[in-house]
Amino acid sequence: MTTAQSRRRFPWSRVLALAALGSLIAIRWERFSDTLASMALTVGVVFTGSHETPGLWRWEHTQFWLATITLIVLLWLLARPIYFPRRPSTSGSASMRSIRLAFISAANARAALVLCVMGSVGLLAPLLAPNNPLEQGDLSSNRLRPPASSGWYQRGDSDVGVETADMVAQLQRVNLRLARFEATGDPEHAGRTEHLFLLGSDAVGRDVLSRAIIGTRTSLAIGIVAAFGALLLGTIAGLGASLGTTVVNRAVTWTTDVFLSIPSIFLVVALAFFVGGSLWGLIAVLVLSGWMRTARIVRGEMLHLREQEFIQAARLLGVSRIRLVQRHFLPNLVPVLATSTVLLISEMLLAEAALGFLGFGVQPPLPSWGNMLGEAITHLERSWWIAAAPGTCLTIFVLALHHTAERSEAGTRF
Amino acid sequence: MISSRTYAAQRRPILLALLLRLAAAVPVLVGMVIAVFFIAHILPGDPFAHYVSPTLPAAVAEQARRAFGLDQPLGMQFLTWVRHVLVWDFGVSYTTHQSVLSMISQALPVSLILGSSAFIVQVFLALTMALVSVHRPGGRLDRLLSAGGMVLYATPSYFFGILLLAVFSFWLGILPSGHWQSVDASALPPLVLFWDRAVHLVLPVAAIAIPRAAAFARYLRSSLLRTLERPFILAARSQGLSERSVIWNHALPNALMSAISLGGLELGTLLTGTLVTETLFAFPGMGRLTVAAVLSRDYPLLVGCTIVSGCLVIVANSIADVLHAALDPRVRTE
Repeated sequence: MTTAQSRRRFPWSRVLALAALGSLIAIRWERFSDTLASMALTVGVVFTGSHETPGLWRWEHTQFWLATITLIVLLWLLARPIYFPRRPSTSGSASMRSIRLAFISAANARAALVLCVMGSVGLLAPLLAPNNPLEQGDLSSNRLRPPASSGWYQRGDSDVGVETADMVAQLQRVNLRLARFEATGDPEHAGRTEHLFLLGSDAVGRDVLSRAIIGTRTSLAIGIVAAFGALLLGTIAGLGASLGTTVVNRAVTWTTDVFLSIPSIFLVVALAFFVGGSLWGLIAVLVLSGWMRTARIVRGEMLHLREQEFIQAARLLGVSRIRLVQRHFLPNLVPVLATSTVLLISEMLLAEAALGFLGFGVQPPLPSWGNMLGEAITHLERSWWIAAAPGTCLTIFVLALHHTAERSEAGTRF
Repeated sequence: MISSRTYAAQRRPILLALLLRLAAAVPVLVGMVIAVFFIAHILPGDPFAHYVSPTLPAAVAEQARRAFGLDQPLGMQFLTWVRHVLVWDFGVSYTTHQSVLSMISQALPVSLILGSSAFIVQVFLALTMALVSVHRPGGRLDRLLSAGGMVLYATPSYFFGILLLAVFSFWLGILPSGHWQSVDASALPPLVLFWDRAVHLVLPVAAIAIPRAAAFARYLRSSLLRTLERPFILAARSQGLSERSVIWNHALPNALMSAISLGGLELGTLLTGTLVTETLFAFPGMGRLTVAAVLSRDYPLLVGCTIVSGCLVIVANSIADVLHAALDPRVRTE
């Protein structure tokens, strides 16, 4: 039904999205071409292999590679159905199919749009950000500037000098430029350059918009990875509690209760301080403090499923336990888990933000929504704008997630 | 609502049920204590790292370590600690050298006042919102409240608190921005002191209660709507009872029953100190104490705080469960 309609209708949303991505390339053309050059030169240097090149895989410039590759993949995904229209595939495993069903039934245009846009902002962050989120510039002119005012940044002169044929020197120069988020290699633009602070600047003269964009990436990455980690751990615990021996069952249930009785934010804060610092430590903390509800849901659902006729029939047919889980239990858990995963992501985002706010989360130079909010409170008296961007992003994203979860809950319980 | 006479005969069983419920919580509590103690001790980080100056001779540092019992193996430390906890002694804080119990007894009332007033405001707001929504479901007011409630519900309390601070405290300048009393509070006469503290409570209570009230109102609204569809409401209406009487005397008590256990959960988290809000408003409650304990790796204080809050959560949940069972005969499991 929908395919027939969409084949006839002009795909406005896709074309608009393509136009948005295309204009992004146009606006950030120098950064985009620098990234392509950097990738090509790296391939060249690695394959010629004659040089010792330190700093070939530094995050400062590889983040641009990731963003550019994502951009190209997104362009392809958006453009493909326009050029090669075809029916949506019905293939895939039972679990994948029910995941897809759960989310299609949850489809809510506005919430989905918000999630897609913010997800793309996260993925394309280094290309989108107008300036380096860590650059402070001249403190006397850049400190606590209100939105839509301008300040000054120092531009490097990484391109000053003669063209060199040396591949390594070229690569180093391109990478340096990328790492500094510099758009130009033009020596005329070296030195003091005016910069428009669209959303203002913070207490040390960094661009709030750039920090919010890079912070979106940090927060979403942590939230989503932690949510899936918690989902995995919770599902394993829930399966263990319902399929294992009595001892395992008791142990898992007891552990779940213990973890639930420790006030969650206390647990998170205590763990975060000791493990914290690194991103993976933070994710581990969030996973450890967030798996319990999933475990309970899985256990409850499994106890219900276990008594169903089709499971007993499969058991009587001699289906192995692993295959039973894989083929019969998991696909039936998916609708319930899909909803709880969406809520889990929002919980993780909020927990990450609370941690960042308290100063236990993502460590300072790297921005995240949480630590931006935390940094905002010290200067709240004079500058409200530092908190506005990350707080609004967080609220809107959580709102969209709740909306989706509510719909998918309604959709799966028909 | 439900007359106390009907349930007077069951008072003993209710108390007994509460005791039994609390007894059932003991193993969980023991597990929590063990988990908290070992999490705090096993993870890397030395309380002496910034307590003892690195220039101090090793022997002196070792002596200080021994004075706090930190040279013992972890198991022995745990046993010593348990022996002290059993006689209600949580030890001495590493940083302030006060007894942990006295620090907690200073911070706990602040958190209790903040948490309970936030809870009362939250329940009151949620009830009002839900009753207004239910008055004409699907009406303009209901849709407005639902949409607004959804936005408030998604707003994290710290962001909401920041907004409140920016508007009421820094922009309009009508409410204090933090602390739970003025600097000169000790010199104030009692009534003025009460007013002073009440004024200081307004913003934190609003920051905690309003987003939570929105969530609670959503739940209450759907619960009320579900109740209003049931046959006994139809029976009440067909008897010619007024709409007010139907809602207040028949629908609301029934709808509230299922909300009680949710309320217990909320109360539990509120009583233990809302860490983030307390930090934002510089409230000297349990939340800030915990953050301070974590920051200075103050094991006795951290473990004490966590156990006290864990106990409060468990007690609040148990009371909610038992209350639910007392009011609603259907959930009693015998």
